[in-house]
Amino acid sequence: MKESKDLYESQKLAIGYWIVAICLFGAQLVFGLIISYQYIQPEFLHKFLNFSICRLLHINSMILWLLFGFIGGIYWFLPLETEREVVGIFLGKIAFIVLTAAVSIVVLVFLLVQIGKGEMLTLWLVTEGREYIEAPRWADIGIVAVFSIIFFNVFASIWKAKKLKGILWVLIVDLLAIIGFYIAGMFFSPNISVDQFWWWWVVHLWVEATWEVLVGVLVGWVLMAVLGTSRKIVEGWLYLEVFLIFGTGILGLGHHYFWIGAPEYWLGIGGFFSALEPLPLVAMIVHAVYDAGVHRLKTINKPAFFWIVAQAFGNFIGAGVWGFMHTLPQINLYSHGTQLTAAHGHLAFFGAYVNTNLALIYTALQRIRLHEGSILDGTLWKWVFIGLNLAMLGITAPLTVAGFTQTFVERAVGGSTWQAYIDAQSHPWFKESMIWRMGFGIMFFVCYVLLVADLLTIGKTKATHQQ
Amino acid sequence: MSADSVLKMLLASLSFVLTAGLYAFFYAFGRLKGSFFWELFSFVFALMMMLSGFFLVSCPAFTLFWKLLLIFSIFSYLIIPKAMFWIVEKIHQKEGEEEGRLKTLK
Repeated sequence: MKESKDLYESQKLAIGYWIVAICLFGAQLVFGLIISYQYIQPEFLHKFLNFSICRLLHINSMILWLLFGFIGGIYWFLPLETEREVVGIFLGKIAFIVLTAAVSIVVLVFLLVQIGKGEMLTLWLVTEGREYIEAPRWADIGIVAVFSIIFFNVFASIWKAKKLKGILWVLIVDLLAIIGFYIAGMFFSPNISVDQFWWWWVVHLWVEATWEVLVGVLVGWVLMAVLGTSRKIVEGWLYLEVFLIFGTGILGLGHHYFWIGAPEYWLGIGGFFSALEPLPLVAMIVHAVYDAGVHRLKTINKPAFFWIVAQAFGNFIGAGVWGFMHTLPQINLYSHGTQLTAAHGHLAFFGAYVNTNLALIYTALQRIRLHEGSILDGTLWKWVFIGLNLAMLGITAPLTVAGFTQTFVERAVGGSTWQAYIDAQSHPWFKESMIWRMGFGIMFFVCYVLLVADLLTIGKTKATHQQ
Repeated sequence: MSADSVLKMLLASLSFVLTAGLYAFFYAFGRLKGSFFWELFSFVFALMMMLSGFFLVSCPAFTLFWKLLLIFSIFSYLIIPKAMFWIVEKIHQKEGEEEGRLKTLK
């Protein structure tokens, strides 16, 4: 076993970020299970922990744990790239403590206070109230401050090391974009169309532009670490990815502007660029198959390798297939906001981001627990890998059936009336889908527990130390 | 547009990109293994992708702009696996040559 003193301070900080991330992942699943049960028994925890609060916590804890995981990735690989300790690491540690404390306070407020009067005090201290970015204003400012510190850590370390490699250049620009786009969600307008217009800048551009680029950087580092992929190839693909994301992802934002009262030309722009979005993902499939085949699944880190390959496929299926299915405005007119969106969201986030974070953590575990040249492998991670992927498909399939039911019964046949809504919600296909979804949700949670067990033990036993 | 056609369009959209991905997967797999069978098998999905795509093109809900966009997508999905495989192969070849040159220099 290696000593933790081999690690940079920055890497120890990364471990802290990942521990909080995995705890938040658990919280996300607990609240997810509660809301999936509330679909079956709507009176469950009624007036105590309503569906709206649990859903808020389910989604926000997901966003936060993914962010914590990504930040961990930055702090893990940055000293390896610059070959020196991160500049201003003390500030970085303070930022970590502040962020973790802020998240705990916000969660407690969401659980205990939940809602407030429609006044500025509520906006500042309780909740901003807008879907997905419900965090109160003080926490918003805190997030921007923390990311500014991370930006400083990255920029100052590169400056001091005088090593501005291609990957780091992309990271610097992306961190600026992450800060910039988040600010777009901190002002509001009484005009709901204008308000939604800017709100989507955070929700879409954060997730489908800045996060994708950040994940591209992190995946590049993982590929170099576990497959020995050359920097030249990684950087080449990263530039291409940035080009494609900016080419299709940014104006793909338009698919959120279809029905918010924005000008009609957004139907064309949004539909056009969204239709192009799966093209690079199909190309990624070819590359993933090629890489997996050329290396004959041989790597120094089996779990990280499998999670990173799964990332390419998961991204394609979740974002590409399930995204395109309901992205053309002629179809979206009927399917908008149904369970198809939930199915797409579950698969896409799992495919693109959860897989990346798990690959990052396993990559770090190899360095923490094994000596150079040893292979990280085991048995439990395989069950976790299969179980989590199957459970996620199991969650998504019933959601898709439920979405089809809503699209057909509620929208296409019933014409979106209140009665049609109730008809769809009480349709056997919808109701049974919710039961199936809950079942696979439990399976996912069990696999999460096994994942935690694996993360705590992998590499510690002699069986996993193969030369 | 009838209620049935909404459902059909949804299914065709699902099948369109899914089969495009399966075509890419099996094509790359076949080429990598040097297996004519898998390469041929991939074309089953290419055919399904084209059928789904042309079904969407034939839907009256789409105007000329959307029909052209869908036709562009069909051809892109047909070309991408072959083109991408060629690119990836070239990149790895170049990388191999460079590594070889470095070893010789050492």
